[in-house]
This record gives sequence, C-alpha cells and structure tokens, in this order.
Amino acid sequence: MILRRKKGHHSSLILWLFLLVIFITISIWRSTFYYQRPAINALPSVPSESALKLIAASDQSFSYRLIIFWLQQFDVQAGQYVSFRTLDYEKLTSWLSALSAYEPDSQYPMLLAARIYSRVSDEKRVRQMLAFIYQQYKLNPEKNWRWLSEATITAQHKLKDKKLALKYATALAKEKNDKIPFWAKDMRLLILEQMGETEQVRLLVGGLLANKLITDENEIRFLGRLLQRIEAKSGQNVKKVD
Amino acid sequence: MFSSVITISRYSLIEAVRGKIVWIIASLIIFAVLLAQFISQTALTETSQSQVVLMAGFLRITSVLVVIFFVISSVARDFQDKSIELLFAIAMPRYQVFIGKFLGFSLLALLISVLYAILLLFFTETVPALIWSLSLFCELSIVALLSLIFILSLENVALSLMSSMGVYSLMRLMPAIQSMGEGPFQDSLFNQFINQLIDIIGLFLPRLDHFTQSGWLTMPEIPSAVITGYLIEYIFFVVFFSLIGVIDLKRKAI
Repeated sequence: MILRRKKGHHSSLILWLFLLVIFITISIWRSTFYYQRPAINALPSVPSESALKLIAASDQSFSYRLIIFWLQQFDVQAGQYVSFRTLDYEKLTSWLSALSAYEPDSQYPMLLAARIYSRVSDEKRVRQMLAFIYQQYKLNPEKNWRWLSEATITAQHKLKDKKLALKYATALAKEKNDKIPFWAKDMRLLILEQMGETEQVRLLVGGLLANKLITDENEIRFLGRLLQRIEAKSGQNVKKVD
Repeated sequence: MFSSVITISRYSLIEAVRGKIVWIIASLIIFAVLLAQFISQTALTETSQSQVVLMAGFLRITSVLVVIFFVISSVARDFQDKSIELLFAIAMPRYQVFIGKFLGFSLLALLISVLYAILLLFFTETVPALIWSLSLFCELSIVALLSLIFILSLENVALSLMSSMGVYSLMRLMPAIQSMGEGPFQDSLFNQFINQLIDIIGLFLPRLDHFTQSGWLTMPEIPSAVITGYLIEYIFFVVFFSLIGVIDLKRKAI
C-alpha cells in the first residue's frame, strides 16, 4: 500500500524553517570544523597468495581488472596527483609481478611498467622497473619481448647506459623464438655499432649471413647495408690514420 | 498439473514486471554502459577487454542481488496477504506451488540474461556473450531457487536475505576456502575436522566459481567442457534443491 499525500495539507512554516536552519548549520559545520582533507595513503604490500586466491576465486578476470585499475589510479589520491617518486617501487614491482602471474595473458602490468612507471625522473626507480621487465621477459620471452625492446631503448636514451641496453638487446638477440621479429634482435648490432664495437658487429653479421641463419630478404639487405656502413667507417678511419 | 504450474509461474513473472523490476534492470544496464564509457577513457591498453569484463562482473553481482531481493520480498508479500495459505488450502499439490514459483522466478532470470546478452553483443563476439548469458541464467536460477527455499522455510525476510547471500558467497568462494585450509601448519585435529566439514559442505553445493566467468567474454574460444560442466551442475543441483524445498514445504502446517 502506498501512502498518498493529503490534499490541501501543507507542512507548517515552522517545520520548513527548522529544516532550513538545520541545513545551514550542517553546511557550516562540515565546511569549517569537521572537514578534513583525505589522507594520502602509501601503497600497501601485495596480499598473500591465499588472499589473492580468495579474491580470484569468485571471478578471476573481474577482480584482476579491478585491481589493475586501482593500481593505475593510485597516483591520483585525495583529489591530487601524487608523484611517482613517493611510490614505493619495491612494493610496486611486487604488485606488477603478482598481477602478471594472476592473469598471464594480459599485457597491462607490462605496459604500466614500460610506459608509465619507468618514465619517472629518478634513475634508481627507472632501473628497478627495467629490472622487473627483464625478469618478466626471462619468464616468458614470447609474450614480453616487445616490453624488453622498449626497456632497451629506455636504458640507452633515458639512462644513457649502453651496457645495460646491450644486456637487454643481447637477451633479445639470443632468444631462438621465431615470434620475436628481426628488428628487435638487430638492436644488439646497432648498440654495438654505436659503442664503436665495429669488429664485433662485423663478426656477428658475417656469422649470421655465412651460416644462412637468416632467410628473410629484407633482413639480409638490412644486414648487408650495416656491413657496408661499417666497412665505409673503418675505411675512413684507415684514411685518417694514413 | 501443467496448467496450475504455468499459472503460478506466469503470475510470479507478471508481479516482477509490474513491480518495476524491469526499471531496476534498465537502470543497471544504463549504469553498466556508463561504466564502459568511463573505462574507455581510463584504460591505457586492453580497453575493450576491460570494458566487457568489468561490465559483466558488475551486471552479474547486481543481478544476483536483484533476484535474491525480489524472490524473498515476493514470497514475504504472499505470506503477508495470506495468498500462500490460500494456495496451500486449495486442492493443488504443494510441489506444484513450489515448481510454479520456481519456474516464474527462473523466467525472470531468463529475462535478465537475455537483456544482458543483447547489451554484451555490442561489446564482444556473439558466441562468448551467449555462453556467458546462458551461464548467468543458470546461476540466477539456482540463486532464485535457494532464496525461495529459505523464505518458505524461515518465513523471515532478514534471515532469508542473510542466508541466501551467505550461501551464494560460499558457493562462489568454496574452492578458495578449501585451498586456504590445506596450507602448512594446518595439521591440528581441529583444523582437520574443519577441513573435513568444509569438504562435506562443498560436496552438496554447486561450484558457482565455474559459472559466469567474465574472462570468457575475452577468450577467442571457450572449451565446450566449460559449458557442459556448468549445465550438468545446474541440472543436478536444481533437482537436488527442488527436492529439499518440496520435502520441507510438505511438512509445513497452514
């Protein structure tokens, strides 16, 4: 049964006035005395495996997406942007690692690591993130090769650490999986060339071409040009010495 | 027999439609679409997967709550206006009343599943959307059946709500609870007893963690074993719970 309003009956003016007074009082109280700026929380530790299992048990993909969005939005708290420098990167990598294991087919945690959290201006944090990407690549090269190739570029251009870039590029080059394209594997040769290790490049390219390990015509043409460029450079160097 | 069962089920569905439950479903659909729009603005990658998975999860949870609240409030109203006593008093076997009610609530579950399937077709492929919706129908139907048993047996709205939601959570989380009990340092006699008890309870509850997984909507191919698995589970437990419900109803004095 629905109660209907009585016709011709109006609430008394005193009640309306009383409601208005209460409304104004609450507004003043909330905006002046009671209002507290929400606190900015630190990133919590990753829950235990059994707790994650409990969360995942009901609907794994749904809870995974909720957690990943929560993590992605963690830098926006209490209506303001929190610098990544204040984030605990140890905990962050643990979260990303746990999430990668939680839904192995998803690329989301790797994208966050390669394109968001490694863009921070703090070198130590960038290195932590690159180490995480390298670790994930070793676990699943076929899935994570493109993130390691991005990490190689970050190491080379952002950190200016050619040795680290070479380490990552070598890991890509040595992987025998056919799913990794030639351009990713060739990064090692380009970094070596930039480091002035022309002899090593010549040996590697020569070995690849001589052993007929490469059948793709474009790739053979690219390596041929690389060899020609190195030969030309070393020719110029010989002339300079003369 | 069939005419009386169909009449009762038809009126249960009519009650749902007239009770503005369709408006609640429509508002949930609108909210889900807004959620999908919000995700499309927020996601950095895998946007379509995130949209469909979060929408599906939201729709499943809310529709389970809608069904539980509707079934319990509907039967509670029947108790209040004595229409249930009238049904028991006329020359109609009680199992027909029970089946009629259950069929009516299952039709509501079907209506919800069909509406959600139509919505999901805009966001994902046809086959995964249909498999997910069929599973949602089975899950909602089981939830409706349990809620019906609880309200008929307990005759108390608050208790029935708590029991239905509790058993639903148990059915969804049972494997996780079981795996937590199997960890190290769990070898005391008391823990062993609790683990045995949980295993026994688990035997007589459907594994709803195998039903309506949002992840199906992003899979290129869903194994047929998944579908047959939840359909067999559904048929088996509907028969089992219906028998419990009918036996309990037969014992009831007017």
